Amino acid sequence: MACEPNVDYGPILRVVGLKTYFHLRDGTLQAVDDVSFEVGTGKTLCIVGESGSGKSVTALSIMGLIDPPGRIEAGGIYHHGEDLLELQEDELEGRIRGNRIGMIFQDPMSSLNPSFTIGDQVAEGLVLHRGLTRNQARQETVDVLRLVGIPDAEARYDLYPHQFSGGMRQRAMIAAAIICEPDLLIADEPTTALDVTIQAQILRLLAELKDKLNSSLLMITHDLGVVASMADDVLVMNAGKIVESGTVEQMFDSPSHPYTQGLLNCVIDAETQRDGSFEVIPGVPLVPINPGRGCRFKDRCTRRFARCNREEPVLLPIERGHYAACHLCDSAT
Amino acid sequence: MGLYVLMRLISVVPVLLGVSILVFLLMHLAPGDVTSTLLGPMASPDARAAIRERLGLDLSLFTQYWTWLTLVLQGDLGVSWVHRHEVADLVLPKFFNTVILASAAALIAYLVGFFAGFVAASRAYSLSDRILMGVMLILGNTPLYWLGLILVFLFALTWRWLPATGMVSVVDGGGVLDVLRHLILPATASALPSAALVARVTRASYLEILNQNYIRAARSRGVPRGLILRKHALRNAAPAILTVGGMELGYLLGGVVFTEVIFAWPGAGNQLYSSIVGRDIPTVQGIVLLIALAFVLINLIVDVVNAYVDPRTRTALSGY
Repeated sequence: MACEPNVDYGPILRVVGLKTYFHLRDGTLQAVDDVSFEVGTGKTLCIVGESGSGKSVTALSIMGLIDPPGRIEAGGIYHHGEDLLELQEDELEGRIRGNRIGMIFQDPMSSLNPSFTIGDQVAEGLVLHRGLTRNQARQETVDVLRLVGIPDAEARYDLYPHQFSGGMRQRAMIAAAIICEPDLLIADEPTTALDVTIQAQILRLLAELKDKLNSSLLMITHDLGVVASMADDVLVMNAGKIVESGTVEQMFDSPSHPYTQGLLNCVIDAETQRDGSFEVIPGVPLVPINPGRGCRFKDRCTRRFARCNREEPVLLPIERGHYAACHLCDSAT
Repeated sequence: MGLYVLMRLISVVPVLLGVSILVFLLMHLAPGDVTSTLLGPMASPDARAAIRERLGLDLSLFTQYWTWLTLVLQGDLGVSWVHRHEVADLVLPKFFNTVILASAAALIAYLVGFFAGFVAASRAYSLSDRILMGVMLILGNTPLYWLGLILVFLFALTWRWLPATGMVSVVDGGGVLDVLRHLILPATASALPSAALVARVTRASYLEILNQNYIRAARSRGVPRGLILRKHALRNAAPAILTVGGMELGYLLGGVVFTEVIFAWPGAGNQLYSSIVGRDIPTVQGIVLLIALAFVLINLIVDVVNAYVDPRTRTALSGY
């Protein structure tokens, strides 16, 4: 498929009003609450936020991997215009997961089954989605292992996960995710569990593969360095809500939500902060169980005012393509 | 692997020594002795003393045990005090019958237990899971001597479908089919507690494995749920299930005493019971030694199989 550069083919993934709740004994955890966004064709969207902000649950919702007590309560997830939430489980298994959408997980040490060889697990997509036998899939799998930078791939095909290093395992996970050449790749903190030196290699590999396969990338991270180097667009989440979204330039040049500003201030700068005066966002993230009225960031916000307690802010445009959910940004105030 | 097995085999020796010492002491600790069995309650003290001297019961405990041990080490289990037969000749055929009963019970326990645990795990926390595990819990904790009698009452006495006692029919007995018919009731009765345990362990290890990250990763590749259960999770849940399966087979070999007594199965358990009552120490020692040996060997086999199933230990052990 020949793609003209700089031609917008529209979003490959459109998430509309997604609500994923977990029904717990203490109440309902609104892990993802009314979240809407798009991943443009050939683009990289980064979702940023602290632990518990709902970014991983968003990714798992797209894959249809939310298990009880979790449930997708409302919304639509449109992949090439088809609502994935309308599909039956066997259709998701047969057509979507691992075939059109591939996913890479956070911890490569625990994401590979210790009882099966690397080759077995990487080739699985070809066996399931293309109907190949293991033997037929072998050569193609070895090629993909080579593509993700695993040296001596032919011999390593038959090794078990415990014989691989962390970085090699993450390369194998990436190989398993891209083997059917999906048009959307979801990477959930793919470098968090890796050494710093390996992190850069994996990120570069992901960027290269995305271009080579003509696919789009949805990347979940809490590392703003990753965002700066990878993202076209950015989504900032807090306590299950999107607080700000825009292009990567808008986000770094003119962050508008106090939470985004706080996150950017938290980036440790080796030049200026030799004295150890690190910026922090005060308090702990809100756990959105029966969150009550008002803004979900108000308890940690240094600039809150009366309206923040009464009324939940909605995402409003600040400039073209740049949205924030904060009463401070609302020109009506 | 060979060295590992050899080391494990060597470690069997102290276990068997300990078991034999314990059983020997317990038998001597219990009141009464074999003279009442042989001579009856009215025998004269002189006659009793003569028997005691002939059997070596007048010697010190240490000498008695040492004599027995040196013979055993030469492959001689001694002579039964009550039956005047070689213990080996007396016990081995009966032990074989016990192996038949225990194996049949274990087979039933594995099939029923694994199936119940598998079904419960695949529908975890649903109503069918709760009902299934509830039934297993009740059946598994019902006392065997009550359950056995109920089974006899229903199937043998009321409906007359199956024989209540023995291993073969007295009239035109023999043949595999006849043994199988006699096997159903005692095997089922002994299998139920083990089946309940296998079911619980199967369900629990499945649920633990199904929560692992690699299962979610497999699902993200589009692996259907059935294949996850049958292949991806099974291989990792297997060691726990195999281990409890081996323990249960060992337990059944030694634990079918009740069943053998209730159903008059001509096995080692039945013999063990009458030998304990009769204070026939060499026979008791011989049977316990056999059962302990079988128990330890079964567990050794399970450990070797487990080490082989898990690629991590397989590669670690291949160096030995």
